[in-house]
Parts: sequence; C-alpha cells; structure tokens
Amino acid sequence: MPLMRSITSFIVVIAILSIMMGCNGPEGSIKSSHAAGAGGRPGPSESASADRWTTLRVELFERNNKPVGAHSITDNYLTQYIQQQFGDPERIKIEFITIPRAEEVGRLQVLMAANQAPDIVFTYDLPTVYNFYIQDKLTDLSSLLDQYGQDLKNVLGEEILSYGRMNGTQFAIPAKRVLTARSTTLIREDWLKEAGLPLPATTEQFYEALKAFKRFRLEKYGENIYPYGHIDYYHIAPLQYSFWEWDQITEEDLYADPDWVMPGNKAAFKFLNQLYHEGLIDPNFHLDRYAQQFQKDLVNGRVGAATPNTIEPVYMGYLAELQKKDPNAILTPIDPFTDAKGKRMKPILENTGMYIMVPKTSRNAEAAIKYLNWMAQPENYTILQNGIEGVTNYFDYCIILNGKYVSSTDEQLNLKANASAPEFETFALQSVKYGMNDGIATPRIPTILPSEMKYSAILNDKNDEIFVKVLTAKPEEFDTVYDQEVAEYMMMGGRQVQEEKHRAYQNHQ
Amino acid sequence: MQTEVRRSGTVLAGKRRNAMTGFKRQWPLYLLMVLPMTFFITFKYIPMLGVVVAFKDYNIFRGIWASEWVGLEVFREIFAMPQFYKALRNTLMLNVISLLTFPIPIILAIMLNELRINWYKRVSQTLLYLPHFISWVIVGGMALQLLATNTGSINELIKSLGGKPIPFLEDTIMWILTYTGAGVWHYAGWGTILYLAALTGINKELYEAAEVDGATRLRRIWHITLPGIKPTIIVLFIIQIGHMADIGFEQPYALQNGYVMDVAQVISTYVYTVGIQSAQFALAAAVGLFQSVVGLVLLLTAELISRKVNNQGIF
Repeated sequence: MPLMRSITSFIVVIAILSIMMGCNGPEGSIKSSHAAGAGGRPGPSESASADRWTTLRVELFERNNKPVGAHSITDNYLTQYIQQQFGDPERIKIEFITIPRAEEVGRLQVLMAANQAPDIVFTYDLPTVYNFYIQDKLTDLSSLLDQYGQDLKNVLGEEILSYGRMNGTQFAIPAKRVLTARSTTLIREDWLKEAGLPLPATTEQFYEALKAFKRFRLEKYGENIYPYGHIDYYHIAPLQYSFWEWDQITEEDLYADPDWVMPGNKAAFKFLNQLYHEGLIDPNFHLDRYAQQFQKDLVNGRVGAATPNTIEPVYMGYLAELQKKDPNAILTPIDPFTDAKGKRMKPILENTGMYIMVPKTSRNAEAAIKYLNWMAQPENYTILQNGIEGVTNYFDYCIILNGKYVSSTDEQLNLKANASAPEFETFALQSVKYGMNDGIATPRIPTILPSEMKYSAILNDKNDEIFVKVLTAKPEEFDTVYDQEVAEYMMMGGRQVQEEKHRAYQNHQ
Repeated sequence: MQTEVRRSGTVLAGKRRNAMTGFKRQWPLYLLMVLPMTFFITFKYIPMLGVVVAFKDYNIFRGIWASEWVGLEVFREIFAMPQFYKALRNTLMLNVISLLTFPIPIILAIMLNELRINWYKRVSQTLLYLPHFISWVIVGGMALQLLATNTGSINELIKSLGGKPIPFLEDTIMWILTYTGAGVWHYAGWGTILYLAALTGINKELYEAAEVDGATRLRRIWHITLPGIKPTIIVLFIIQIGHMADIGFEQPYALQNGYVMDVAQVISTYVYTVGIQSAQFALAAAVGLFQSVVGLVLLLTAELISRKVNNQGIF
C-alpha cells in the first residue's frame, strides 16, 4: 500500500509540474517573439531596400453572401490578380484579414486596442475614425501620399482627401462615392393606368394614388394591401424634407439641429400618422427591420409604391424578380414630394465612402500607399470592380471607390456602369436623376464632437422608437406623444449634441 | 466542571491531531485541488478586478490601469439617466412575471413522474426539454413568423376562421404575455429535468407504505413527493430571486421591437446600446456592478427568509 501511494503521489507531482511547464511554454514564446519584433523592427525604407518579402495585411469585409461552391473571398481570381499584378513585382505578399461586415466597428476597436490591426483598415463610422485619431493611433500619410500616391490623388481629388485631414495630418484616406443620390420613390405605373391616374407629381397626387391602389385591389381581388411599403426612419426622408419650412432653416440649423425640432417636421409625421390610420402603410412596418418582407411584398404585387435606396431594386435584384413574376408590372421612378414652394428637397449622401487608415503599429505604411495607388489605376479598378466575365464579382476589394467608377468627367458613363444591365438603364438613369433633384447634403464640419461619440448610438435607437410611436399614435393623441417623445430625446443627450454642434459650426466660420 | 473542560479540550486537540494526520495521509488530494483552484482564481477572480473600470474614465487604448480614476462619477451619470430607471423597472417587472411561472416545471415533473408507461414518459420528457437547445435568435425569428399580425401563421389561421388578428408583438400587454410564454416554452422542460432528478432520490418504500395505508395518489404527491423535492425547490427559487435584477440579453433582445420598447427595453439591452455600441465600457461595467450588488442583496434576503421559515437554504 505505502508503495502504491508513493507512486500515485509521484505521478500527481509529475502531472502538475508538466502542466505548469505547459502553462509557461506559450507565454515564454510570446515574450521572445515580442522582443524580436521590437528589436528588429525595420523602418519603412529599410524593409524596401532589404531584398526580402514584406507581408501587407489588408482588412476585407466578410458578408457571408458567398454563393455555394464559389471560391473563398481570400483566395480567388481577384486576390490572385492582386498578388500577381501588384504583389509579386513589389515583393509584397498580400494577406486579407476578414472582418464580419455587421461587427466591423467593434472588431476594429478591439484589434486597434490590442495593436493587432491589419496594415490597411477602414470603417464607415466617422466617430470611430476620429477616436483613433485623437488617441494617436493612426499613421500620418501626407508625405507617403506625395511620394507614392499620385494616381490615388488624381482619382480621389483634393476635396475628398481633405475630409481625412486635420491640422495637416492625413490620418485617413476617404473613399470616393461615385453616386450620391440617396433614395428615390417608385410606383407601379401599370396600377396607375388601371385606375386611370397620372404619374403623381405632387404629394397630394401621391396620396390619391395610394388610396386608389388600396380601394382598387380590394374591389378587384378582395385583397387588403398596404400600398406604401418600406417604411422606416431613414427611407421616409424625401417625404419628410418636403414638409420642412426651408425658409426658416439656415445651413447651421441643418447641420446642428435634430430632425425632430425642424420647422414642419411635425406636419410630416402627422401625414405619415394619417397614412398609417388609413391603412395605407403596413401596420407591421417596424417588424420588417431589414426590409425583407417589403421585397417579398413588392415582388408579389402587394406594394404599390416605396422609397428605397436609389437603384436598390436593380442591385438587390428585386426589380428583375418582379418582372419575372408579373411581366405586366411596371415600376417607375417618380419625384412627387413637393414643398410649399414647389421644390422637391431631399437629402443626398456625402461624396465620401469609407475611411481607409493605416494604424500607427503598422510597419508597412509605404506598401499600403503603394497598394492603394496601384488600385487607383484605371485598368486595375476596372478589373477589381467588374471581375472578369463569369468569375465572382466581388466589389469589396476596391476599397477606394464606392460604386462603379468609369470616368472622372462623364457622370452619365458612371451611371450606366452602375445600372448593371442594359434593360434597367433607363430605370437607373431616371432614379438617379430624381434622387439628385433638389438634393441637399448635410453640411460637414471637420470637428470632433465628444457628445456625438457618446450619445449617437442611443439617439439612433431613440429615433427609431419615436418614429414608431408617432406613426402609430392615436390621431387625437398625436401632438402630445410627439412633443413628449421629442422632449425625451433632447433630454437624453439630444440637447448636448445640438448645443455642441452649434458651437462647432460657429467656431468653424 | 473541570473534568468537563478538560475533556472538551482533549477532544479539540484530538481533532487537530486528526486533521494533521489526515493531511499527511491525503496530501496528494490537496495538491490535486490546487489545479482547479488556480484555474478559478485566474479565470474567475482575477478578471473581477476589471470591475475597477466602473470607477474610472476608462479608455480602451490606455488600458485599465492608465485610465484616470473618477470615483462615483459613472454611477452618478447612470442614475441621472431617465431611461435607466425605465430599463430597471422593466427588468424587475418581466422577472417578477416570469417568477409566477416558477411552479410550471414542478407540475410537469410531477406529472411525468406519475406516468407509468416508460417510453411515453421518456418521449414526453425529451420533447419538453428540446426547446432549451434552440437559440433565442431562432426563437425570435419563429415568433415573427408565427405571431406577426399581418403575416404570422397563427393570425392567418385566426383570420381564416373569421376572427380578429391578435397583436401578439405590438400591443404591450400581449407582448409581455408573449415574452413570458416564450420563456416558459424555452426553460420549463429544462427545469423539469432538475426536479425529475430530485424525484428519483425519494425512497420508493415511502410510496409503498403510503399505498398500503390507503393514501390516494394526490395524498401521496402532497405528503411524499413535494416534501421530497422541497430542498431542490427552495434552492432553485432562491437562485431565481438572486437573478431578479439581472436579465438575459438574448431573450429580450430577440423578442423586442419598436412598438413595445416602453416595456421591452431592459437593463441588458440598454447597456448594450449605451455601453457597448457607444464603446462606453465604464458605464457598462458600472451597471453590471450595480446589478450584481442588487442581486446579492436579494439573494441573501431570500436565503435569510428561507432559513427563518424553513430552516433550509443554499449556504
């Protein structure tokens, strides 16, 4: 027995020791590799002159929309093209680091905090970019751009580059957005014909058309439809802007004030509230968070009008689907929402897309700029944006451009390129024309606003909440609900953001 | 008297001597315990020190220690937010309502226990706890498919039978019922297993004796089954009380929608928007600490009451 026990204890001791050694192992190796990294850190010029390969790590959005059987997004025709055309001659190995599209901001924050971000990172979220800049986490790219970025400068232009610069530091390279139209209203022209109505040219006519659609479908097919689809806070903006009293809104107000306090905004929501109670918009509109039900309803002929993103029906494919399902269906772009002066004000997008950055921890800033500059050469962005016929068309590689880009002088050519199929060209051209008509971009002030960084997420949620509450409020309670909700919005941070923005605007003048 | 004292003294000394010899004989066992203890200290207790960010102006880039101390500033900020109170109220309300469903697994377990056909019992048991393995995200999607007013299958059925559709997801009262119902659907079967396990521990002879004495089935359940699982019931009840200020993230997040935010915004989802999405980690940590403290107080209160009333508790 005693012998037995001593053997057991011996085994136990050995086991514990070996586990402890095991724990030490990786830690030790991490330390050593760290030390090597810090000591042997090559400067940019050193790495270029040394006759060895550098690895350039580039962020890539993972959208999880790869068709079954397609090549992986990190190894396919386009990545090989990049490697062969750019990487091999420069002795740079390109490595793509995928980040899920939906979590990009959070992931990027963590990677940056851990000093493990790729050499090229990007995000659409400007407060995040500013935050990195304040924390001094980004490489100043000014001199590298002068040295290696001539093509990039030509494509983007000085204005766009200026949005990524502050106090002479080029902390980010904003991508160029080719099309700035934001949303365009569409209507079923075939239904209008059946009802004997013209294409709506005013808000009033649009409303009449909705009522006619509802009545008509009920009488003819016994179907209770909700003719105005895709209702959410973002997409009702053209209607909303048409109710604003623009002669009372200065540029400063447009920049600083939340929509809820704009003169005329309440009337816009009163109108939407009326549409809701008359059954002209889907009572379940808010359950359809990602507009999936809307697309189904449109294809199945249960929606008569909507205001989606400009050309979305083309690039999301539901226009083609509708025509396949019902060859007689005609979906036509219109521009009906008119303000008191007959103008059709609507918001348009900024001319920038995402912000591309090189973290300070990167040792390959030079290679990064060379890569972006290579991408800015027409033969390269053409291939990256269009792929090669029959090969996966993956637009996420061309990070410097948002939307297909063909010509710097002819907008029409760019438009055609984005229509994607010849049969939709007229639709796309018309959509963009209406989407830009009397379009107004929110003024931009290049300042960092702490209150906005702090409150934007919660205020965005509140926007959605108010939107639902005021649309569904009982008509007699509408005013009370609206005022009460807006007061709450201002109290939970809206007021701070508003005041800070006014100050920023005035300081900037 | 003196002999008494001396005797108790020798007893104590003897105990100590026993403990020493026990340690000598069993030291490998103590040594073995060192490993799990190291594990828990490293991964459970050391990370708890991170709670200091609740008292700091925490900046993810500067790290925990380099961020500045701000005292109770973060808590002051939280308690100044009107939405925080709303979220707290909703959390407590939904938890209290869920607590009312506490007896459901007990009833289910007793019903299953009374079944005599074994395969039927096994199949029902499996069917009951399967929902536990379905992710809340999927449950949220199912709720939408089944319960939406226009397009949900249940409302389609009601409409085709000539009834008026029920706004399960949009009306606040209906939503609370939907939330509670989904909770029961998801958790009840799982809870049942715990009680069934406790039921197997009851001595079969007790039932036989009661049967001989002529006790009816209900009498047997009342006098043997329930007292037999009473300790389990009490422990689970106290644990649930301890979770009063605390609410899972997935269930409310998957089921909530814009129509019902007044009752559906709970602490966890609120912290997600304010703390995580806006990267205000100090705020998230402070709310977490607040929840833990409230939970601990409730837990200890429940424990105390249970000790007084039942002479049973979990500690």
